[in-house]
Amino acid sequence: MKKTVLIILGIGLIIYISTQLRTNRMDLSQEYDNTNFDLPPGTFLEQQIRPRYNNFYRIILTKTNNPIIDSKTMIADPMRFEIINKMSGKTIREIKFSALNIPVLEKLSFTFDPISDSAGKTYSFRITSLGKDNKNLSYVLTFGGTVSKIDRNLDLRSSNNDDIIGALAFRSYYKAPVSELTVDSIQDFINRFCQDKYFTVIYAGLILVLVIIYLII
Amino acid sequence: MPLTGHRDTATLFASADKFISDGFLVFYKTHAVLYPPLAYLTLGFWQNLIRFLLPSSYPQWQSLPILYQFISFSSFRIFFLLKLFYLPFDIGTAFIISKFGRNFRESKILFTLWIFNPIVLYTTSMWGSLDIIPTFLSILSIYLIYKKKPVWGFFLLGIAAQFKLWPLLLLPLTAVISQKSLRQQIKMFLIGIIPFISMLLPVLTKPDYLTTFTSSERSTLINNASIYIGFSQYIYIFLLIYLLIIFYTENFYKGKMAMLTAISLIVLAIFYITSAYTPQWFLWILPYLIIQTVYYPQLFKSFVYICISYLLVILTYDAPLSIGLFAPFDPSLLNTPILKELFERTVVDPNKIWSVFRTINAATIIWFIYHWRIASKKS
Repeated sequence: MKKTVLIILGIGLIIYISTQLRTNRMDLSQEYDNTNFDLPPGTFLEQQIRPRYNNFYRIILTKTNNPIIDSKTMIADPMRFEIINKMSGKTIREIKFSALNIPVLEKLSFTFDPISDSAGKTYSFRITSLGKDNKNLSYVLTFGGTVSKIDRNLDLRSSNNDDIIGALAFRSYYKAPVSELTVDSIQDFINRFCQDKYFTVIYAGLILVLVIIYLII
Repeated sequence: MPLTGHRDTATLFASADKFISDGFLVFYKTHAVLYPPLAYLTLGFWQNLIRFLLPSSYPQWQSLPILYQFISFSSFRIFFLLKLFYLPFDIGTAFIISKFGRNFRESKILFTLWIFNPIVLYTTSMWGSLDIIPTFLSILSIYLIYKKKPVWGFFLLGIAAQFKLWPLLLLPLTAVISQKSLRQQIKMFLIGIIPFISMLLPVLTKPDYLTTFTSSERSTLINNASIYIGFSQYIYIFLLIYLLIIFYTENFYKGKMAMLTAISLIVLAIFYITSAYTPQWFLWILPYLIIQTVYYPQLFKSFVYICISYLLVILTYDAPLSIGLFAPFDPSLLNTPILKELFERTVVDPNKIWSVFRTINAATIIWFIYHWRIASKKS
């Protein structure tokens, strides 16, 4: 009995640690990554986004090139990341960084103060390379994405190329207390699970039959 | 089952689909293939059998990025139906294991220990790993050999190796234990190896398959634990101990059928101790661990130690192998950081921590074997 309690406590501790580490949840994602968008010095890339939840607080660009991995001369140009409210056109969050900060793991993460009323509003995030245009530059930062338009809310703009159509590969996150995240998870799960009506009914019936068999035995 | 999933399940079944549509010679020429043909053939057959139950969007679903597969509402039905294939093998293994019980009570415990085992639930029902098939076939073949049906037993062991190669490790040992004369031992070994080689022969001629297979880090794991003896040469620890077990068995256990499951246990235990095995591989040893634990109840404590240390091994892998398995429930969990990510952020060389976890796991396995040796001597 004592051993069983210890095992249950051990498993409980791991689950507790895992859930407590989780103070954020993914909101939107654009996973297609079949092309690269260049960001030469003096230009910007701007991606439109419409969060589903409040407290929008992080963007992860899931594919960037990496000067260290590619063994190229690193550029130390200053860079700027902005969150722009599309309604007012104002920059509401700003992070300055250097191209040197782009991490080895090929994912570029930007965390900012949560935007409390973000749900359903249109924003864009813009990455600007503040360096001077240098035609001899051998290494240009690029971000993965797709040229096929997936969602009209995901328009991508580039100051380098007016004709650009597509979207960057990214994930956006929102921050909330664990209890709220858990409720969101369950609601989202129920919505998706119940969309496949036939499967939902058959699976629920199967579980019911198994429970009845268990109770009879 | 529908609430959990892993990208390996999706990609393995997608490969099986390609295997059926392209034909196996083209498939082995144009794809990076790791498994022998029977594995793809079986999974492809199942997929075609249940095609009418899968959603019409299944071909498009297969080509989606993994996160979108989890977000899709079809993922519940798809993962459930794909993993359903493993259920008869899972129940079949429980049934065969229960046959090793010496009385009704032991059979009941053996059946229960398998069906409700967290490691089985994790690897088969949650992850959807293929390993349950060779595990079932190998324990069935040991049972048939035990029941004096060696031809079928050795044939099935060869078939088991068509899914994953590890049952080949048991082949020579089983031949040595079960047969008294050298001629019979060779005959039984050939009955096992011939179907394996003949089914593999067409793809062995494909250099791409051989290159992919021999250069795979998983294929070479078995050689990693070694002692350098100079001039770029090594003593391979697993091979050394394996050969010693064969010599020992040949001298002391020849014809002792009761040792079949115990020797299989020891060989696989040595493999886990000397290689950084991936979590689903641990399923291979589980039937033998459970059988010995039920034969000698004093081993239960050591068995629990192994299960706990196995949890540490899981934690040395990324989130998709632990909390990320629940991504169909909440896709956000796919990349949720857990202990591994935490260690990687805070510890300079996390591999040292993973090595400690592996060492703890190896220690618990050695302790179990030592305990088993004492218990079996006493009885």
